[in-house]
Amino acid sequence: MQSRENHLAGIVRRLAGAGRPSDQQLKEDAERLASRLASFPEYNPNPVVETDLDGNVTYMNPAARELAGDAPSRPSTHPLARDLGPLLGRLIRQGSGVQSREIFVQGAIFDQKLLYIPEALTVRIYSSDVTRLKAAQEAMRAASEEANKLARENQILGEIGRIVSSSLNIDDVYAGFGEQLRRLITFDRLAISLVNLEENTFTNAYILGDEVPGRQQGEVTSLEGTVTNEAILSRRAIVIQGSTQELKRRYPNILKYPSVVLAPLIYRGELFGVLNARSSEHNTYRDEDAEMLSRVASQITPAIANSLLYSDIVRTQQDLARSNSDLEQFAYAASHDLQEPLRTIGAYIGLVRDRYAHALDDTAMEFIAYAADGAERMQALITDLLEYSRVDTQGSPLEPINCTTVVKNALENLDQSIRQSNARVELSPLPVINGDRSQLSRLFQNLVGNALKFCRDDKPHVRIWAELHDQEWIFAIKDNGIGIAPEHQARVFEMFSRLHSRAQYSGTGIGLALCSKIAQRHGGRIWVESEVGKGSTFRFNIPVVA
Amino acid sequence: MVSDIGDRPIEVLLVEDNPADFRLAQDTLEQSHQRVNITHAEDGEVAMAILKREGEYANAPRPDLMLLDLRMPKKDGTEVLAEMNQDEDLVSIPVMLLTGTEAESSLLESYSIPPSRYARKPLQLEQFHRALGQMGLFSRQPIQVPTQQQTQAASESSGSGRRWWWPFG
Repeated sequence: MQSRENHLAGIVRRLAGAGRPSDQQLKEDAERLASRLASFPEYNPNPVVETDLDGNVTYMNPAARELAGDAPSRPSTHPLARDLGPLLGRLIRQGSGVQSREIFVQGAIFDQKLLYIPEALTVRIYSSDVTRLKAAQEAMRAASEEANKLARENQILGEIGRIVSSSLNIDDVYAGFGEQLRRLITFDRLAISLVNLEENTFTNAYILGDEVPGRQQGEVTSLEGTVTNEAILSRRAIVIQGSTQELKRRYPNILKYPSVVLAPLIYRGELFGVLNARSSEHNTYRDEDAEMLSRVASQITPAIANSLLYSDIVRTQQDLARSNSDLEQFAYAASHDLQEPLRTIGAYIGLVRDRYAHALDDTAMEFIAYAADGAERMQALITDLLEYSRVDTQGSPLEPINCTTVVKNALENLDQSIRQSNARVELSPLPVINGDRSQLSRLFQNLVGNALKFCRDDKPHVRIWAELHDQEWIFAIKDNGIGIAPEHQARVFEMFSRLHSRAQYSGTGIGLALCSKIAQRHGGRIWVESEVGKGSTFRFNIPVVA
Repeated sequence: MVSDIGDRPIEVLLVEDNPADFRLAQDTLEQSHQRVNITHAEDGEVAMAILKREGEYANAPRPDLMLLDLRMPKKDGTEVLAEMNQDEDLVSIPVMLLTGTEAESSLLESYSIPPSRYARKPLQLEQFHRALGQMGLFSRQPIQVPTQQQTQAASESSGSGRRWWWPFG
């Protein structure tokens, strides 16, 4: 004590003006002074209490006195000195040293250091209020825990999202997320129920965990009296739990589980299902589980909706393929079976005309001519129809075909009409494409044939060429004929559509429909640009040979 | 020409289920100015009974030429042909097939049946004359067309699953 006070006196002397100390010196001296003063309990801003070896308070500093409030000026007890028993024993046995503890006093937490001073038979207790520090630490710990939890949840959600998006197969989608979900929510049974609001039913499309008879995968259940219905009505995630009797009273058809959390599956505003987790324990779920399930639901919703849509598309495609094949079969069989009786009609009409002309008057012969014409036209229709129905089913495999050769061949077939109409046909060199020779020949023959047929009075001029655009050839057949009005341009490719009376222009109305189908089979399509009175240009595209 | 006919009429077995087609063929044969004796079988079963001279057909003449419709109820032309080809006595009878449609003709073509051995109905006079002229030739070259059962079996074993292309059923 003596030397300490001497030293202090030195400092005070220096502060009083002996020499001119630097600011740095002053600052260091002030700090040292403060630290020295703190070791004097009387100057310590924190509460300091001293007790004897029995724990009776022998001294308290101003801060401790303040804390004790109305206590008498020299009490033998102090809140900061309570329950010292075991600690005192330990200190005294050690003979020296320090013990620490935390104590809760007047709504605050104090960290205490107990110092045994044997020469004074005294225990000095330094206390510092760590309430705010503790609170901050606790807040930090909670925040970091929350952050970790969120990070983990997000990681699992992300994992679920990745799994469910990785396949369009609905079973993969379901299988992928169920087990992941276990890491987020406890459950004994998890189900994805797809609802049919029109019929007020639902079907469990996926179940993980307990199987319940009557509610197994694929079984159709009425929504009435179920918690699923409650989730549909509320359109948000909900927790439903309580005593079995109470739940049974509110939801007569509820499963035996006392705790349920449900989240609706809503895609683009349309509710199509409910994700639900159930537990056999009471009060398993909290609101945050509903929130979590809701997040899971929004994570898996697009994938489920997509895969449902996808299976719809696949089913529709299969239906379409089946109906197409049926239709082709029908067209083929019908065409076939129609031909025989028609041939009989034609043959007998021919016999009557040839053998009984002498016995018939002009009117009878005229009637017979109409009948014969009808039979011939029907024969033409059937032939065309048959050809149309065979484009996809009876075509040859596509192979490299020189279109110039094909068109020359088609022009030879049209030789008679070309000469009769005195037409000029200009053929530019055409590319080699992947195609079916006889179908391409039919395509060109029909288009050039039309160009010759639908001509104006002057001499027909037909040009045929091809242009390369990106990865496809665009073929063009241009004429100077009567043209097609804009409102009719799309219709000309429809089956049996005719723009002109049979008396004006003959034909079955299948020719361009056939062209369109052939273009489609070759991976392209056909279209027309035309102006009435100026002519038409028919174009079709075919991919370039790879 | 066929030498063993001599002065007797040419025996033609006309197997045709459709009365209109039968009448047309009969008319064509009558127009030929040949002496033709026509026996009519309205389906393949009757045709076989006549060929084998069963029951009421015990005294049926052996045909010099058989005109055989491909598409018939009960037993169709291909089956009759298959049975005849199995029969030593009947395999030498000249057969000309009658087809109802272009598709049937194409099918026969795809089976490498010579064009002289089938005619698209209605039978034309010149086709009949050509058949008469080639009778001797026909009898040494029996033709074979797979029956519906055979083609079905083939298509099933090949797994194509296309059942409809067969135009005779």
